[in-house]
Amino acid sequence: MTHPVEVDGLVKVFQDEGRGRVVAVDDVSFVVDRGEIFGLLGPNGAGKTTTLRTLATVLGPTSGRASVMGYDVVEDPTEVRRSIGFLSTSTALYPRLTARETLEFFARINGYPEDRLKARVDALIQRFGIGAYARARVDKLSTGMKQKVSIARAIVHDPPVLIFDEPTVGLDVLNAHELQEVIRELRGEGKTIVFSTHIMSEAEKLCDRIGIIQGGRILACDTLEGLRAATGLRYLEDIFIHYARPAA
Amino acid sequence: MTIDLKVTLALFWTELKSALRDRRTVLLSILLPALVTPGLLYLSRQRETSHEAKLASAVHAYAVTGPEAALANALIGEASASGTREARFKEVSSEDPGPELDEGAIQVWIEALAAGDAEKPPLPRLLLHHRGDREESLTALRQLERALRQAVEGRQGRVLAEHGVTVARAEVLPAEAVDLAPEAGSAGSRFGRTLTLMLVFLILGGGSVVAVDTLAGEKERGTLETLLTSAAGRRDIVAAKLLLILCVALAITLIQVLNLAFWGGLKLFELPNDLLAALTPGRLAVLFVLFLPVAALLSALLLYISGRSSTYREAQTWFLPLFLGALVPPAAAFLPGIELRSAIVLVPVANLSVGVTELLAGRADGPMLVLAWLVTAAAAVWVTGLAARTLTGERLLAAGQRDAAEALGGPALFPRRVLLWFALFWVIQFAVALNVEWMQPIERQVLFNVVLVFGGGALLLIRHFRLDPKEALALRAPHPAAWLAVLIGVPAGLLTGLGVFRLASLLFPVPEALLQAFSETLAPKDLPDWQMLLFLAVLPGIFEEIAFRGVLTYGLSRRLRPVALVLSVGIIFGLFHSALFRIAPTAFLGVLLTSVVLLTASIFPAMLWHGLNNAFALLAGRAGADLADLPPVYYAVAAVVLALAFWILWRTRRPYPGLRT
Repeated sequence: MTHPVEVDGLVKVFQDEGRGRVVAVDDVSFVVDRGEIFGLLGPNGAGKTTTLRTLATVLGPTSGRASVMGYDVVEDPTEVRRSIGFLSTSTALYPRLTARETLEFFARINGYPEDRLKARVDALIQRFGIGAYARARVDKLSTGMKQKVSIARAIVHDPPVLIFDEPTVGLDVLNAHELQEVIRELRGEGKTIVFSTHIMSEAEKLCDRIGIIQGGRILACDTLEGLRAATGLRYLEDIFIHYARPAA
Repeated sequence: MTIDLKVTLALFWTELKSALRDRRTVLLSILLPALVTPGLLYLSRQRETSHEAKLASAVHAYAVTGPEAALANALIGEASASGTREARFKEVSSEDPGPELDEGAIQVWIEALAAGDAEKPPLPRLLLHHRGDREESLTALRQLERALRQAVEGRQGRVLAEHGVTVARAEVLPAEAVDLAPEAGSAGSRFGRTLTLMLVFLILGGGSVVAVDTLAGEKERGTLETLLTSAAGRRDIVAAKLLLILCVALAITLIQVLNLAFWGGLKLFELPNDLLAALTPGRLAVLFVLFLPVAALLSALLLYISGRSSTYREAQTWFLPLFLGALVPPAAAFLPGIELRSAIVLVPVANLSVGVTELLAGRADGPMLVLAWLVTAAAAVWVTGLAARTLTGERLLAAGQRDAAEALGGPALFPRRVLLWFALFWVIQFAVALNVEWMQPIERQVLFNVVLVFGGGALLLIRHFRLDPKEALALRAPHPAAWLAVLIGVPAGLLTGLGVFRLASLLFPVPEALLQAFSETLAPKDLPDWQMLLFLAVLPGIFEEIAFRGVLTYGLSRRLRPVALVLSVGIIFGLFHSALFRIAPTAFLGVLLTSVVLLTASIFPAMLWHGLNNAFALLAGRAGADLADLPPVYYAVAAVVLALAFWILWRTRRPYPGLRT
């Protein structure tokens, strides 16, 4: 295994009865190293979510390959899912479980050792400051508190790779900032993070490397400094438009 | 890929906990039925009691006109004087009783005609005018009829006594039925017929709320994707959810049964006296084992429709056709002369319904019962697999994902909706056939099913989905050689189909009583030839083709490849033909006709083929020719000729537009 996350020539085609053949992801390739935050930056419908869902084995690739921690997404989907924590706007929590029950449940089905499970859940409850609400049902929690439980849920089994698909959408400034802090901390702990966003400032602040994606294709992939040097532009928004406009 | 028991159980307990915390589930699935059942039983009992009391105290007003009015009054008076009848009558004088009957002032108007008024017999005659749309008038009519019959019998008795015959009427040549079946056997047979039906009803009712919530609800809430990105496998998820539906459905069924037993014990309603004799502990244990695959299949079906739906509401709309459709197979036990040792053993649920009836009647067919169990269990496994596959359905991954087809509607959406519509047609057809007595004559059945449901339904779909009629119905001229292929293919196809049916009958015999009853219903002897050909050959040839080889084939051709398309349309066509033993031969004809449409890109040869096929079969039947009992060589030759017909069609084939390859 060279890189914790490897995506090579990934293609995802949907056969839609209404629209016919839709190429959602078209020959996408990238790798992500340990302790790195890789950002997929693109507008809505660019192929970010499809790429990340394929990486999480929720969708199967049409062609190409992808692996997580050396496990192929087609050959070893269970091991891939055991190795990742996935968080997106569409990954909701069970409303009728308490915060503690949620964490215990996801730790258990992700194969976290039973003898260390309680200690792990306690540690996360403390880390995210949800102790006062640990026995409250999730549907009674505030949006911010739900987001904290969601992050704790995604990392409860201590996965080496984290996939965040536009995690700050719908959050207020403070909650979004808090989430960005958590992502930085996780990078500090050596986690490999794949992150998608359409918010330029977020990508600028968080990502070690950025892949600009549009129409299912990665148009450019480099560090922010590398992208600046390649285009001669300072701001990421200008860089994005530089690449995206000719392709549109 | 195997099931991880630890993960599955963790999922199951969490789902169960979550379901029990849902007030809606607890209210709709447990509390409401538990409270409503005794309520309904109480009301029904109350109504019955009050009806009986009302009858006892009712005074039925009537008027008598005509030359024999005195005779009518005398007869009613004699019946009232005998004191054996509870009903009381009051005569109302009236010159014109018609309007008074309409206004409700009287319940019956007796027109007593003199002997000469009627052509035959030359005796006085009483016409009992009443209002069939009013309960009080109908009740009075029944009471008057009984009273008059009783009075006439009294007079007959007196006349006989005057002539020296003193034997009571009831003692003259008495005929008494003697049931040689064991007491428990008769009760078991009666109870067994309804048992599976009742169980299906309870399981579907009890499991539906939790089933809809468990996948469609999860999609809507967004928790399904959370689960799909965990290490739990698809099979673990489906197994846990299936277990959940099964447990909740069985628990609710048990609660309902105990509930009924409790209120029955309190005499809220009458339990059959001999029922307990039929339900020995041993039989109860066997019944539990027999019904397990039924419960698993129903749970899997519920899970499947939940998985196919992207929202709670969509799942609820699918539930009604499933519910009505699922009640049909267990009703097989009511078919006349049906035995488990027949083709029915291959029909899931229906087979166990018949098997359970035989078991409770004390004539269980062990090997066939095992086969029935295996068939239903295999169906449960297959549907569970389908449900598991819905979790990989990309379109349904998350709630609210409306793609272009759903947003645009019309022709783009039609391929996705066509099966749902045909399921609705199927339910309408069966619900009406089973419940509307007016539909009994074959002409009316054809007019309703074939012309209205199939023809009207197809036109409705064309209009609703804004389809091009020429495209949807394949209204194109075929290659001229297609007509030749049809002419040689029709008799060959008919004989080949009968040969296949005969082969199948060797393995799974169809009860003779069933065949005879069906044949008499399908083509009554008193139906003139021209009507038989019109209703059973011409109209099906046109309208069934419009529906099945027209819109259904067009819709499914956008989703299925040719072989799957031909088989699917054929099987669906077979399922629309009510008698279970007709499904296979009709499906065979459906496969032939769909192949003809795909090879000619035209509906017209299939219409001709269908019409001629039915006409040949019916006329041969009328002429007394038993086509199903020819020497085997005839069928072999027919199969070769059929192959020749399809060779011609293949050589002159025209592309069916939009067919997936």
